[in-house]
Amino acid sequence: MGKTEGGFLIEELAPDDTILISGPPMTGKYQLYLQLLSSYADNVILISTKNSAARIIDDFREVAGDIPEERLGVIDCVSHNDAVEDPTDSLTVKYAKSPNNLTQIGVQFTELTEVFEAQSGHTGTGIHSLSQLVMHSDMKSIYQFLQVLTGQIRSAGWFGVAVIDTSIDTEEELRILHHHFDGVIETREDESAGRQYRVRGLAPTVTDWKSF
Amino acid sequence: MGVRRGTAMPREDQVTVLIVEDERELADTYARWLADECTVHTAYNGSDAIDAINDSIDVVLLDRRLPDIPGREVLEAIRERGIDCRVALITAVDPDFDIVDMEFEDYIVKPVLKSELQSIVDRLYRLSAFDNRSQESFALASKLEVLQDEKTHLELESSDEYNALKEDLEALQDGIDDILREFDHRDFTTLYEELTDREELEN
Repeated sequence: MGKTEGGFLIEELAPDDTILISGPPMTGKYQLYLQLLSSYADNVILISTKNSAARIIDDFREVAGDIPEERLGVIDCVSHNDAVEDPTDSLTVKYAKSPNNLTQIGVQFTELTEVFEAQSGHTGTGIHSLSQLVMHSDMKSIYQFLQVLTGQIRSAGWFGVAVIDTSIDTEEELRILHHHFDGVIETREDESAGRQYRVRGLAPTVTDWKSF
Repeated sequence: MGVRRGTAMPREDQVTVLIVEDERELADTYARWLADECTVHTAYNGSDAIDAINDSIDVVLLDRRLPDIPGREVLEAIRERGIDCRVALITAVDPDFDIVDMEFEDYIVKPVLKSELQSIVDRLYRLSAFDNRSQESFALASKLEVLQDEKTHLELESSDEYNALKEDLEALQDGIDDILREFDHRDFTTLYEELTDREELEN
C-alpha cells in the first residue's frame, strides 16, 4: 500500500495510520509533517489553517519534488480573509472562509475526497494546524469535527497527519484530542542533540527520542 | 437485524420509527414494509403525531399534507420539544423554496417505493447512531481527562474505574469506526453541516 521505499520513514508508522504531531513551537513539526506526507502517500490533501494554498504547495513541492497538480489537493482556510476578491475553487484547490468554519472545511474536504478516490496510488491527508482550530472553536466542536474527519480518513484506508502546538499551559487541555489518533509523534528541541521525536501509541511502549 | 442487509453495522437496539400519514392504507403499507426491521408507530393525523412523539423515536416519516395540522407545524413541534430524532418529509411534489427554513434531514417524493423507504430509514438511523455515540465519546473522553489531571500515573494504572472508562471509550470508538465505514459522501457532508447546527443550538 502506497510508497514506503525511500523518504522519511518511521518504523512504527504504517501507511494507513492516523497520527498527531505534537510539540512546542519551533521543534520541526511542519517539516516532519511535510516529510511524512510525502513519504507515506502518493497523493495528498492538505488542510491549511496557517498558510495560503500557494505557500503550502511550494513548501510541499520543496520536500516531495514536482508532484503534479492533480495529486495535490489543498483546503486553504486563510486566503479568504486577506483577499480583496473571494478566491474561487478549482478542482483540487478549495477555500474555506476561516479556520473557525469547521462545517465548510469538512464539506470541502468531502468534495476533495471524491476527486482523490478516483486517483491511483495511496492518499494522505494533512491538517496544519489544529492550533488554529483550537483558537477559534470550543473543544467539543473540534472533538466532533475530528471524530468525523479522522473517521473519514480511516474508512478510506488513507494516511492521516495532524499538527498541534503545545505549551505547558495547554498540554493537558489538548490531550483530549489524542483519542482520535492511532498514535502521537512528540517533538522537542534538545540542547545538545537538536530536534528530536519519539512515538507514543503505535508500539507497546513509548519509543526513545531520535534526532531528525 | 437492521434495514441494511448484509452489512456489519452494529445495531444492538431496534430502530423506532413513527409514520405520520393520513391515508391509512398508505400508512399501513409503510408500516408493513418496515415491520421486520423496526419498531413502528403510526399516526393518521398531525395531533396524534404530536402526541406520539417521545424520546424513544429515532426516525419520523412525515407526510407534508395532513388534514388537521400541516406537516410543517408538526415538524416545528418536534423541534421545539427538543426531541432528538431524524425526520424525513414525504411529499407529493419535489420540495421547493418553501422548505428552506424547515428542519428535516431528508425527503421522499411520492409514490414511495419499499426500497426507498428502507434506505431512507437506514440512512437516518446511521446518522443518529453516529451522533449518539459521538456525544458519548466526548463525555467519556472528558471524564478520562479529569482523572488524568488529578491522579498520578500509578494511581491511574491501578484504578478499576479508570481502566473501565478507557476500555469503554475504545469499544465505543471501534463502534463509531464501524458505523462510519458505511457512510457515503452525502452522509459525511450532513455530519459536517450538523456541527454548525449543533453549535448554534448550544449557544
